[in-house]
Amino acid sequence: MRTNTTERSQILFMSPGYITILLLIAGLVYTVYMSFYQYQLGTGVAKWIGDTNYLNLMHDQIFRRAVLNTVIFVAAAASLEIGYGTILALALYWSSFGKVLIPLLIVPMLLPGVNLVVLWRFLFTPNMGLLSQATTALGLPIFDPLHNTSLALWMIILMGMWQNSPLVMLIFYSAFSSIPPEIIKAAKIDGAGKLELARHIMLPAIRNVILVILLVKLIDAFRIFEKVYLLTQGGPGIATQTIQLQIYTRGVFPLAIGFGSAMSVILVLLSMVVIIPYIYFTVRIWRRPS
Amino acid sequence: MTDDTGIKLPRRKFLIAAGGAVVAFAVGDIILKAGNSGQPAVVNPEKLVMVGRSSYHEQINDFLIKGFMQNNPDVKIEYIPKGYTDEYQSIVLSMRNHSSEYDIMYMDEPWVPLAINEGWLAPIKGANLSGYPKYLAEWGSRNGQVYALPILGNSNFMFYRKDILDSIGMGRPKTWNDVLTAAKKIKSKYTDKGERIYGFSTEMTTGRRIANDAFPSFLYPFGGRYFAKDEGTKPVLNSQEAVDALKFMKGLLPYSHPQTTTWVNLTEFIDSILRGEIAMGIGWNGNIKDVDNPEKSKVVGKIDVMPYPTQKINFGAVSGTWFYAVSKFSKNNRLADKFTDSATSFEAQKSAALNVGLPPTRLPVYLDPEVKKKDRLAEEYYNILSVAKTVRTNPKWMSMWTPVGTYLYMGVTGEISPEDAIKQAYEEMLKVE
Repeated sequence: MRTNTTERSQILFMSPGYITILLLIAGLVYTVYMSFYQYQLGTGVAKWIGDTNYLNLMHDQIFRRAVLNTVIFVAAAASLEIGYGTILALALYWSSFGKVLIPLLIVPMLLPGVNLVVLWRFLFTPNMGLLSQATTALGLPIFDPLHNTSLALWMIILMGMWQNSPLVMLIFYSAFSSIPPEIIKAAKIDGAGKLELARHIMLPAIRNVILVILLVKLIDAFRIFEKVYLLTQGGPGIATQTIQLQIYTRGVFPLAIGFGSAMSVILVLLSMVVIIPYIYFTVRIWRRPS
Repeated sequence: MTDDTGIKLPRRKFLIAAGGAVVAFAVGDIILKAGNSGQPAVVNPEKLVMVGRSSYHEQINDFLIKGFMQNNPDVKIEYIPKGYTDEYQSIVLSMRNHSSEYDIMYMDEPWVPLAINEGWLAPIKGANLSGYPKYLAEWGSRNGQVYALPILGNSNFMFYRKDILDSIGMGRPKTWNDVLTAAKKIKSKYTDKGERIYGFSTEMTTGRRIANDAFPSFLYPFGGRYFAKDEGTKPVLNSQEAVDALKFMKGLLPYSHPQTTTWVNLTEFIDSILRGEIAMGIGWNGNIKDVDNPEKSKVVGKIDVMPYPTQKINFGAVSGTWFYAVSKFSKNNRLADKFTDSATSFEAQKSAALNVGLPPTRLPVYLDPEVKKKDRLAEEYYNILSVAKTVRTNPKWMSMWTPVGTYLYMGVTGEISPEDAIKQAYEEMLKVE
């Protein structure tokens, strides 16, 4: 009797989780199903067109560039944010002014994305921006990276790095601080310098934290939208188009449900190709005896 | 149920107690509110809800709503301002669900045929169409019924600085070739000598802007079209005329404002006009509404306007009008009809033109002595609105403009050839079709 009650309670308490998973799966299945239709929500009826949406996307120069940009963004943003965050965390760990520097370093993290974009624009707008005024004053040509097809995407990556690295820094700094001091002392007595300490003692000690943060950053990077939308709207040309931006401008805004669903399916597949193997290998590493 | 003292409360009693508490709370609340009012219950005023745009559209609609409510104190109109995308989606989703949440909808030109086709609009009884240009009166009508009344008469046209063109010995440009010649002379006389005055500019930025605001001003005078003239929905962009227009646009760029393809937003473009940096350009009424305001403009009295320059054909200008329409699912159609009729009347449009800068849709408003006195460009606007045409005639245009505008942008900035840009833009239109 008690067992039955316990089981019922377990099912009851787990039910929100089960319902969420079921809704998620239903949403995914429906998205895949709709991707084979041409359907403008609110107008007309859904028309089965088979794989036409996917074939159109394969031959679509803008979407192909959006896929490439998304991949570049995910790889660059995740690695640069973690790399820069690690350097900051190590610098803080060794610095005597760590407590003073932390509040200053986390300011970009506290800013809403919109403010950050406004600030970035203020810096880089040609003619009126701070940087262009400085270059003009020095007699140099106007530096306009946001409208340069080779630099624009990297400016967005840089902006993300500036905003998101402090979070990585904070987490890594707290992880470094939890390493038993005896280990650090012993390594120092053995003659290890700061670089050797970082490379052979500290970073391996927080390996699991790094793996988790990398996963979070990968997932986060795939969802890049608002910075691109507000800063460049995918331009100049198609230099900063991303899949999310394409889904919004060509799927969500015109309510083109079929076409938008096909783009969403491709985004989900692409992120699964990266994230599922990553999770698999990460879990294997965690389970391996140290 | 067990309380702190360990006394067990039976479930039935607990439910009765909880239910009683809820009823007592509700009754108490009603009594309290009735007591506080100190007045006998009054009949609520009749209420209408209008969905519309934010920014200067909101200012104009607010003014018209206030004017109507002053004359009809028993009526309350709630205005819900939204961004362009949000408003379009809200209307489509609301109509799809046959919702009565909106009584009146403030709609952009391309949305109107879509809404009429889908049966979302109620005919406006007794609508007065006098004074509208024929194309605007027809745009909101179908089979003898009027479904939408034009209110905000935006047009896309050419503006130019008379003083600059006089200084290079050229008058008002007649053709696009004249514009190019003038732009070259302005570059030599001003830009190359370090003055921040540029021959030409418009919003040639990627996506919606270039597709809606810049390219049509070249495409149509060059003899090309987005959609077939007769039935209005078949894409016909794949023409030599379209390629020629894009090539011409590209050729004009070296003599244009350096930000012509990179304006971050509309405000930057407008500020540049007000600073006097742009000698000739293409824009909408709202872009130049402050040129004669000495607090904002350095070019007071220097800007003039005209329809598009001709090239192969004398096209006129592109219309970008906004309309009032009444939802078929509104529960207060009669009152909504009354509002649309009143707010679009000659008197209401004149008052809004004088007080909040409405570009009227009824032509006689522009010729009113008070309006002409307030706005020295009123007669020119009259001429432009008279010759403007609707070109966004396919109800699916909203799904087309992003890819079309992206390829046009790539063509004009040299990422791909103009021929390739037009071909790819056309193919994108076919995919949506």
